[in-house]
Amino acid sequence: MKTTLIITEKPDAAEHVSSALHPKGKPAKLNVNGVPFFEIKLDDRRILVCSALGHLYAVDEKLPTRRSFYPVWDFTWKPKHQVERGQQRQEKWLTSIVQIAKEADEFVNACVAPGTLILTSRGEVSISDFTRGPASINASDPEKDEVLTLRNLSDVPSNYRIARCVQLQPKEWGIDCYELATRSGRRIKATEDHRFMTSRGWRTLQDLRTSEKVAVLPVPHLPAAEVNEATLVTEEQIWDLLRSFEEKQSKAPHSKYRYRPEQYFEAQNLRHEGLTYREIANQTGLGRRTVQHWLGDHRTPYTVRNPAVEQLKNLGLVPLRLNSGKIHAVTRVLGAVFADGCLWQSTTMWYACGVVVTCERSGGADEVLRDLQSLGFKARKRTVVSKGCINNRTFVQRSEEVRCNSLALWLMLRALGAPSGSKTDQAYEIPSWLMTAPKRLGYEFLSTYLGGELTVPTNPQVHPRSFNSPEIRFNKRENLATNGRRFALQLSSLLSSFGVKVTRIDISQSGVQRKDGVRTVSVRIGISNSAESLENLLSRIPVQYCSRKRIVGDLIAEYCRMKKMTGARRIAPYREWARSAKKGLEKSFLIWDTVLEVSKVHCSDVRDLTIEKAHTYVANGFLTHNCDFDIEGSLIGYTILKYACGGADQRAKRMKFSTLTTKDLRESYENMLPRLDFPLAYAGMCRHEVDWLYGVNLSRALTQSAYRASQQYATLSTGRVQGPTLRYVVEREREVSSFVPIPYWTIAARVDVDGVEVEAEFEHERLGRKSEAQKIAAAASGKWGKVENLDSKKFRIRPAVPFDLSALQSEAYRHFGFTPRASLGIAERLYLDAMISYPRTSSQKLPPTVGYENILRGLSERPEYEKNAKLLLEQGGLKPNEGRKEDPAHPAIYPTGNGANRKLEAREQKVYDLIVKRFMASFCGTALKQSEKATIEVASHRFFLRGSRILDKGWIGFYEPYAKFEEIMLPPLTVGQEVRFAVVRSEEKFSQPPPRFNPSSLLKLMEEVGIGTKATRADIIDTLYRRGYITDERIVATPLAFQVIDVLSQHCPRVVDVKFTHELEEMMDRIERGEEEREHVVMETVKNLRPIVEELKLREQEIGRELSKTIKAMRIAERTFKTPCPQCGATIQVIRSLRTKKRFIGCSGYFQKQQCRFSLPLPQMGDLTLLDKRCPECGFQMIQVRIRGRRPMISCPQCFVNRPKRETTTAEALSKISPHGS
Amino acid sequence: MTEISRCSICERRRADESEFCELHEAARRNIDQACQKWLDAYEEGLSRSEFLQRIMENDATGEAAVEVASHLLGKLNGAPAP
Repeated sequence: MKTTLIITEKPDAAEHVSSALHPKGKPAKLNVNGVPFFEIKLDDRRILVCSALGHLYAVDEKLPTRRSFYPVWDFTWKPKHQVERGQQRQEKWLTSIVQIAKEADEFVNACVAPGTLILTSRGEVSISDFTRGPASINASDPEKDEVLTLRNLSDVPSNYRIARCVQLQPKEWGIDCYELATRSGRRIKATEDHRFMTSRGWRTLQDLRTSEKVAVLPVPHLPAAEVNEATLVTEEQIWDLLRSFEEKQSKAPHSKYRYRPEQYFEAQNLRHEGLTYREIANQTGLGRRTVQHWLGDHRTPYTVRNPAVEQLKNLGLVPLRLNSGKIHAVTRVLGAVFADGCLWQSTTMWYACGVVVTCERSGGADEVLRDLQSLGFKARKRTVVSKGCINNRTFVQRSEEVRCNSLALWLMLRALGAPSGSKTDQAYEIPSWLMTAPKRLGYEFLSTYLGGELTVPTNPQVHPRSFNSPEIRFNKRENLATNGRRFALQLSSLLSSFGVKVTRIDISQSGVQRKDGVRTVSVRIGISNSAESLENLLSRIPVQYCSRKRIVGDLIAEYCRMKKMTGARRIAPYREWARSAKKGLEKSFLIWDTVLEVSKVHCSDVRDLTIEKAHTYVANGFLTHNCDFDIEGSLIGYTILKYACGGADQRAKRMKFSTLTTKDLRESYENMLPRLDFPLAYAGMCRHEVDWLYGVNLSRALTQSAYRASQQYATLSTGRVQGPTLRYVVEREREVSSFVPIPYWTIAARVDVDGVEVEAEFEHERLGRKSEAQKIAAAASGKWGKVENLDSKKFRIRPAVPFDLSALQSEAYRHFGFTPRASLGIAERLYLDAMISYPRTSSQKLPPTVGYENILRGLSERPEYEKNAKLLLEQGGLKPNEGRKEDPAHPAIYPTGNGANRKLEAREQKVYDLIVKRFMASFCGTALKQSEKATIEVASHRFFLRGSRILDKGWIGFYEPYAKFEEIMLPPLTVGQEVRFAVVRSEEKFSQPPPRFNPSSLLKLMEEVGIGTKATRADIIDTLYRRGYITDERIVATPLAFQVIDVLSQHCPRVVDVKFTHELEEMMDRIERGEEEREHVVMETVKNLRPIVEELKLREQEIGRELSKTIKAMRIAERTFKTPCPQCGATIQVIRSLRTKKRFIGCSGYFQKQQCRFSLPLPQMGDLTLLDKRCPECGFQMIQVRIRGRRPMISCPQCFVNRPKRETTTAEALSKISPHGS
Repeated sequence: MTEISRCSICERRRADESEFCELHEAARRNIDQACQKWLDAYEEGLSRSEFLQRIMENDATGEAAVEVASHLLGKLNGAPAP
């Protein structure tokens, strides 16, 4: 009988795998030397399942040398217990695996074929165009490095960066390829394990069934880009526009744009000719002070370097050419301005102008915002509730408004031909350049114009397979009807170039009666409702900036296409078809297509893209999932198989699963791939080897330099992650240390409302001058103010998302003060007790496969969670509010619902409670909060009273006490009510330095910049503490940290730069793609590092002197008390007796003339720290003693000696050493 | 071996064209920038030595900034730098 050995990464996975593979779910649990493994006996096979324990092998030097020797370049992989101390558990584990080892099975890979078209913002691009790494693609045009895809099903398709592209030969890997064909005619070839979005969730291609629903994204047929270098906007055009405001400029004396550049140059020339200021002023007509200001101070007036023009030039928008990378976004914004947007300009300040685009609340504002930001402008979005009145009928309109206050943008759009102000009241046309521009620009303009002005066709009841004709409508003043018709004709001409047929242009009296009595007409452009015209309209020019219209439009276009393919009689009525095509995807741009066939095909070359953050891409219209890479997992398996199982890596297979459910595990066992994912493992090995080379050589160089200079040993270390992390801390310390506060004033006020005093806040948060603040306080104090306005808003607060590791660490720190490392340790213990899922995850998603109901049922058995768990179960329709972060390897942290096998420690209980409550809260409804604001005017100043209260607790009730909202109730107020300002005073305050990091915020920063992994970040922070680089909970960088960073920045800046990590990632990508040999990368590393280490060695003495001086100073500071000697006033220190080797507090005066004999005893056990605290009774500096396994003891050494004596044992004395503290 | 010029306050290497190391030079720059803002804020005619004294007494002032302020104050008063 054959024996199969399955090695999993973690013990719980081994348990799950064995239970899943055993027919009855009850495998035999055995053990070798105390290491558990599972046995399953089948008819023809015996399966043994055991686990690794993280990495069991590590890099170490090849030849044994002294640990202080450097440089070292030769390395090899050795069992971890031989490399690191305290790895006895790993040793036992490895020995047991060697004993059990017979065979091994592993890993899988997933890819799609090269002819496949990938959706990008440039249209559909062949996947074979993405053959190189992203760094080489994106140099000139970042868009080429991105695909258009969705992160969540309900998202608007957005650009996401390609992390890597891989090309593989499926034959070599023993993978089969299949072709998927759907009812709508879409086709795609991909490997068997490539995943597609289906109504059952993500499913592999091999797993797809006929008639099953797969998600597709109706892809617009974008016109091909044409090469055209014509210039649309020149700098001169912008200047002309600016000069057109000349009259207004002169009325605005403070205008930055008051003068023309020619005037400045003329004045300058005249000065060169020797004219006086007065003569120049007389000759040019400029003011004498202006001339003096320009020429006297040699200042350049704004006129010459206009900020708006400069901004446009810096953003690459002037000169604007047809082939510019930004022209598409510019044209889209232009289209929106012609539709529901407008260019506005202030009547009083001509230079205060900008763009406003109004969108429906269904979505679209985010797209406008994204476009404006991509152009380089700052914009903001807000929800607007406006009350209107048309023909005496009042209505409330809710919309989303995107506003960009920028003169530069205004000037550019004006130069492109956009009308400014009310469009109904002025004549305008489609810009002439657009009529002749490449078709792609016409598409961009029309798509956003239609997003605002198109009335989407409806499906009449009487003709269930047809649609009414869509319309475009706009109003014009009656005297501008001819201009309206001309504009309509121009639109028709643009539409016809996309195959859209315009059937009529009607101009009729508008029913709107304006307040100013001006009569208006309504211009209507009717579009043919023939299937062809409709399909062309909605698929060739799919609307943008309006999600509702886009979703409905895509659906109708798809229906028209299907109707054309299958025939009008064979297709279901539209409403029935749409219900089925949109079931569960109502707010998504995706629709369901039906699988017609999945057939095996030959394919010699396959490709795959890995997309950052989204992890999906749209290939031939199908929403597919990219490969999941788990480098560390691959490496753990590879090293065990290679070194512990006698080179079994060459014959091992790979079993891959993403969830620990029985179904997934069985499927992955049945569909094992014939070999390991070698490139992935090699990339992982490379990272470890490069890290080792840098870490070992630089750390030894630092340590040895310091040692040789002082003959005192101190471990100094650095590395790829440690270096940049320490640099962040040191940089923050520099900011804090060099910070100088700036004074400012606030106004504190208390208002008396019918006998109740309420705090009021002044309209300006900060005032820069003392006199101004005092004036306001004096003016308002004791005065009566009037309530001008009362405002009340209700808003919903979404539930908290499930925990990923960093969120758990941060929340545990916030509520309990646990360090990230402590939280991870606790979470791992809970995980090993099967109480929570695997905690080292960066996912905030909870797939249904985790079994929500079962977990809640399990939790309902615990009295503390019973009520809430039952409430959720009764409520039904469980759907968690997931976050954005994903981790292909593990879901978010969740409780398993299992009870504890042992009594949990208090700290474990706290973390478990946090996880359970967060899990339950994520299934709850939103909380409803109401905020109230009263505006009070007094002595021409405005004050606000603010209140807030929770109307519906929703998820907050489930997450208490971890979610708290302070309620502030305002007394009843009415508009016009008079209230007295009882107290108004100005308060002097000072700006504060940036906050110091704490372990949690430092961890968050590491995650943001992408250094370290979820498993190592907490350890790195801990190492920084151990090395003495940082101290305290509010992290303070020590002088040693400054010194180390100075040395490294000077000699090896690479190791303290985050870029190094990114470069290494890129190298690893190349190894994975097979473009780079692991050995070559390692050789390159040695080549780069060798001169650095040699230089460090050469300058060892100099560097060592600096380092040892700092270390010595730190050591002295560590043992020197700030309190002076009570007897002689000299410094007192912790001293170790040379004779007895015991430590005590002694006076430095002992060695001086006065020979002071002051001394105090100290506890002899534990680590001693001198605290910044003073004893409340005697004022002596307090100490802290930490003994492993005990609570830290805080004590005053002086009071300890002076305490009333009683007979105690030594143990008692130690435990009761703390007279004042804990 | 070349002689390394040291910061006037600490033992660190001097920054280019400055009498201070990088940290103290940054603090000096911040002091210069803050000075004008303090003068504008108080209006009542704050002298530079008063300004330096007040930032030294302020809790929010960083350690290096206090050292530089003390050094500059010493110079202003003609006393040797601490």
